[in-house]
Amino acid sequence: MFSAILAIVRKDLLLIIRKPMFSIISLIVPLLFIIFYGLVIHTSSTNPIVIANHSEGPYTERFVDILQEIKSVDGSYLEIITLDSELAYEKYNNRQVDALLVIPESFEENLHAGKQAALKLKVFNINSDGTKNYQLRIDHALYEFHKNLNGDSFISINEDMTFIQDTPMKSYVSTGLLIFSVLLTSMVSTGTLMAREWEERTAKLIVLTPKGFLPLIVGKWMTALLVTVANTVLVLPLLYILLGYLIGQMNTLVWFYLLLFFFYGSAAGVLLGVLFKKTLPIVPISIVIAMSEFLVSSLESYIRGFAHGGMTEWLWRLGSWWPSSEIIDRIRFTVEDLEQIAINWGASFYMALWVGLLLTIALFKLNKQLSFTQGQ
Amino acid sequence: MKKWQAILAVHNRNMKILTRQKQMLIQPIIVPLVLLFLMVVVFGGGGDDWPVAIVNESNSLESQELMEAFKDSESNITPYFDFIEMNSYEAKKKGSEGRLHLFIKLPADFVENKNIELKTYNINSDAMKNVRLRVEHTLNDYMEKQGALKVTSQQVTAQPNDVWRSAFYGGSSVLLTLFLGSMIIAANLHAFDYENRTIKEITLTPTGSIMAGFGIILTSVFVSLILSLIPLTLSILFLHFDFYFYNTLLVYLSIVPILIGCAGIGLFLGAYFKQYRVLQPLIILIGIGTYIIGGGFAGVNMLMPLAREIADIWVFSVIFEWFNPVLHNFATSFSFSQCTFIFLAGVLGFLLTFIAYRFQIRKSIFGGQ
Repeated sequence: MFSAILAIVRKDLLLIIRKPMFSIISLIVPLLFIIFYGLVIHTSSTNPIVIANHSEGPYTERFVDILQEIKSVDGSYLEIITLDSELAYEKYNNRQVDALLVIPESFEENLHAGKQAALKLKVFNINSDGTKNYQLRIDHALYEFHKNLNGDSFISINEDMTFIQDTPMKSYVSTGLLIFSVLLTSMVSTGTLMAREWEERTAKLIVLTPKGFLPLIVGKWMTALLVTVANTVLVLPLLYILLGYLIGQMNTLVWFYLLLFFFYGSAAGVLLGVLFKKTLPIVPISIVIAMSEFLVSSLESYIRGFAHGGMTEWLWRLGSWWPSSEIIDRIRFTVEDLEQIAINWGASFYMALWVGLLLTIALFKLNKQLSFTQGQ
Repeated sequence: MKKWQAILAVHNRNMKILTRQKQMLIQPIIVPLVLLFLMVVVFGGGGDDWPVAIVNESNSLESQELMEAFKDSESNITPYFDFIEMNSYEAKKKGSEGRLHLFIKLPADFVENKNIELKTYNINSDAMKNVRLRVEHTLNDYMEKQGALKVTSQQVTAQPNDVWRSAFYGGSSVLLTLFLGSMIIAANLHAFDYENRTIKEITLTPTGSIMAGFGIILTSVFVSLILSLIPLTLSILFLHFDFYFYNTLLVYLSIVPILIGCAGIGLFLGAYFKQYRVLQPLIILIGIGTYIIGGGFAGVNMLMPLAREIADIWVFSVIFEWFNPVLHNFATSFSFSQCTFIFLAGVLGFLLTFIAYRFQIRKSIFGGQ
């Protein structure tokens, strides 16, 4: 049995060495997705803006300082591209930036005279999310500005947070991206390794061997495991460099959970391979599954807070019933050092059941299709 | 004439292949639709109203006015808050479970201390930014009404109405279907000839194999235009997408050269990589990558400096950056330089097709082919 498994692994590795392009692309795809997402995640924290400042004086300086200082744990709220009025108008009118804040000449003298001063925020409102973000950020700056200005009439806020600190969004998504990478690589590798046997007309020999299906499945899993490990070795430094992921905090439990996700991805890959017997639909379906896991399961604890009614609640409920979301949060809390986490036996068992179910369906399908035609 | 007949014959054959091998259409339909669905649902496509709990423990006129300010607080498209819980016990419970990110309490001593209390489930900075800044916006509104705000801000938008973010995702999904569709269908059809061993017939045809390439371009552009009507219809029906007939027509007509360019790239990649398993992840990645950093998810202007620089080099980003404003009526024409680029994209498509088939002819065909 063991020699049969090794023979399959050796054969698949030999194929990978001879035609490495697919394996290289399998490794590159999750890496590039992480790079893309790493680049776009800053959109939620920092928004570029130009400021046309026509005013001078202590109030103006204080307000401009606030605009430059306001930030979250992810970074500055505003990326001020220029404070030069002429350049600011030029960039906004040429659509090089989507927002322009005008501080009028009367700003300083109005405040000195105890009058109200008005700012003008010009926004290219092609996406309501951007418009809202600019409005809220400028309001935040105004709120901060009034803290020292208003005295008695200022309404302050006392906040009681559930966790000691906000988890930066980039750290929050990092765990999801790691899972995405493990799932996608294991699913695509196993699925295409399986489908390849049919495409290259070697399925008959492998499926009808007296050793049964076990060497086939275990052999494919072992090859896929090697590819997934190689991928994870590349992904982790990237997550560290791009998103500051705390690799040093990954303990044995985290690695165990990652292995569980590998089994989940590989079981899904076996099923996809057996169902389709062609690589054509396997890759896009795997990408869709991995992306859904990333966007739904890995963001479950975030979506939970605003999933009240409509499709969002429906999707959240679906995600919360899935074992992945709970495990991903465990990994996240462990890496972020937010809680002392013990193994979640319930979720792990549920995940193992799910892996078992996928494999059972795949085996059933394999058993049902033991007749071969057209030379196969 | 014969050449036109050859192109149409290949196109007819391709259409038959696509109707029989429906899995070839999975990627250009499913990828943009799933992306659209997830983006809309996960990133709040429904509007800006954030579910919160609010309790007023102060029986005062001031606190009543602040409650009204919270109710009236709104963005350009919807209210900022959706008050789903006003019972203190339930609010605390939901807040601690993470079922709500924010519980606002106006305490009994609100009038004396001018202070409100927030209980937050601070799972990540994005959620917290959204709830905290909304509260501050509302307090500013309240203070402005009380005459206590010394500096106010007035928003002036480029168009009278904001494009809902769901509509923006919808428009991007239409454009993604168009360019991803033409590229991947062309690549798949080329790979189909290779994997199903018909490449020999195509290459050795007396009319010239390039005609097969033009036939594939015709099919890819035609089918991607048809497929893009799916996200367009869904966006109009469900995603607050304002349909401008002239603008949409302009987009559909002027994007054709770019689709030819994309189909040419698909054919070139198909000729080089030959197999589905290599082509698909590569092309899907180009599509999703362009969607994410090329202006599909958010405009390039909203991205971080490094991403903006990448988008400047990444030519595919013009698809979202130029066509989305026209689709949403922020522009009604293309500049001369844009028209030139669009035209050149079409020329490039034909050039790449030519290279792809020249490349094919130089190779011997083995293995039963």
